[in-house]
Amino acid sequence: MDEAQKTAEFMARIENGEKIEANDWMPEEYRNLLIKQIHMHGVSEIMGAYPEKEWVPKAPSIRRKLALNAKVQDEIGHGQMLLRLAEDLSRPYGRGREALMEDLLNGHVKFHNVFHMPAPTWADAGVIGFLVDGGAIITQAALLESSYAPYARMLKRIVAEESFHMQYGESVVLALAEGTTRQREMLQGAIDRWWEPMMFFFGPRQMGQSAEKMMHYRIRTKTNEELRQKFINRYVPRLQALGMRVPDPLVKKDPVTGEWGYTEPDWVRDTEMVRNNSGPQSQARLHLRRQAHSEQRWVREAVMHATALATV
Amino acid sequence: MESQDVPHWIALLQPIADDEWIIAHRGSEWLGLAPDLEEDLAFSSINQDKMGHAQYYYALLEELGEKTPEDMVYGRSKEQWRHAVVLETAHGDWARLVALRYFYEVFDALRLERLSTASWQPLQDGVRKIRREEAYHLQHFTTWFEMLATGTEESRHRLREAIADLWPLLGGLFLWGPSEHFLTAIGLDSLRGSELQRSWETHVAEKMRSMDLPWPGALSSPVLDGRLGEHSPDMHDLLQVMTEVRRSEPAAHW
Repeated sequence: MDEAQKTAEFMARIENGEKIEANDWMPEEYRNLLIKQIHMHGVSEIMGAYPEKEWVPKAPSIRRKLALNAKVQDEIGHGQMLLRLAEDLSRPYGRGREALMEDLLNGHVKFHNVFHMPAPTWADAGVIGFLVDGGAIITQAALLESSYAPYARMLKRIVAEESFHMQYGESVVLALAEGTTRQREMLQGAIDRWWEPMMFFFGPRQMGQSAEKMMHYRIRTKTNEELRQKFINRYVPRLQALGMRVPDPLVKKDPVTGEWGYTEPDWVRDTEMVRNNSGPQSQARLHLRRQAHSEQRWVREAVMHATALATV
Repeated sequence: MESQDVPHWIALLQPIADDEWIIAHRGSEWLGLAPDLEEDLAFSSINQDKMGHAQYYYALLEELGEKTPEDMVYGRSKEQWRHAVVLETAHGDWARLVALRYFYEVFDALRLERLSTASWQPLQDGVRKIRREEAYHLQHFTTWFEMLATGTEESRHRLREAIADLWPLLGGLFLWGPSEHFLTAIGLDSLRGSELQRSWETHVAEKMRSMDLPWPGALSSPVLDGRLGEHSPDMHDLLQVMTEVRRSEPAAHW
């Protein structure tokens, strides 16, 4: 069977709603789209640990400290699981964990815009759980129907954990909303900082070429705009119930179409920020990952040489 | 429990609780910074376990009339902490972390073994559960210690440097404060510092010999005795960070 026939059969399976497994034949374009998506998702989970990690030592109660510690651990766990998927898919190219991590440090793979932003207060650490994890649940739940079965299975577990994270964030946010004036101001400040990045988070209304292709292969099944609308629809009432302000005067529901209006984020600026790792915290966070990865290569080398000797 | 024994149990539990909390707090600073993702996950679990152990000991201390666990963690000045100074020191490299954790885990296992015969039932019950987790912590860091000792020239060199750096501070683990008489009063003479130290040295010397690492000599008394509330500038910094959010609105609910 030639390549064109195989591809035609593959597409027939996809359109039939069948799921693809890791060892099935797949067109190279499909494999590369999966690698791109899962690699980006994996490194974003890892980079997402840093804005919150800095608040673990400062968490203001024993309970919060334990919960945040466990949450950050979960994010790294998601990153680890997703990278293992990306490693499997990258095997034909002879690329493993080290190469995939180097891609992040060299700027060859991007991470989510939200993790380039500063988290200057305790309220930011809560709002990340509340809004960012909440947004991630929406984008990831939309991938549960993904044509690539290993990814869909993994996302099921990840989404379940993210909903714990969202509840954790909600609990932190609620304590602040019911707290002192200072705490409420701190919370509003964090919401003001995170709202626009969340609008960008879902991507432009007019989707890029690879996003369109992912729709074609049913790696994803919902448009950027559908997901953003779902987010606004879910969070506007929640923020109002907390007595907090949505920091965008254009956020209103159109009574006819039911669509939410919103101010467009600065697409050019933010796209460049993600592409060039030039956001306010991009380099500082990459520096932390470099410290973990590159500066401790000697540890991984020691482990490789020691395994046989040390296992008693 | 006889009321005259209450101060003795407090003298016993406070250093243990503080040791566990401070080592876990320092450990949690490594989140996202371990040498690979798998270790990040494992190490984080260990630190969460230890925070849980500290929380348990603080709850017992509260039963004995001390402050609440929250106030013990967030409401004490530097001089009121009773952990060993070596545990509060700021990070070095992974070799230093491995050496510190290995030395501490051996010490803690010996301490828990003796603590498991304590006559106070709630303590005995808790220690039984804690020992199950601590056995894994010890195994984890023993493995790391062996891997670095037998890995590459660099890892071995770094481990030796770390041991040399830590050695002058380790004696502080085995101290109990102004007096050890309270141990006799509650029937736990086996926890005397000299006894613990002898067992620790036997165990660690054997491991170091098998790894062909030179024995750095007898442990000395530390310059600062954390059990007496003497602490280093690192502890000042640690407290500043740990209480930063809480201090910004002390009466608030967080």
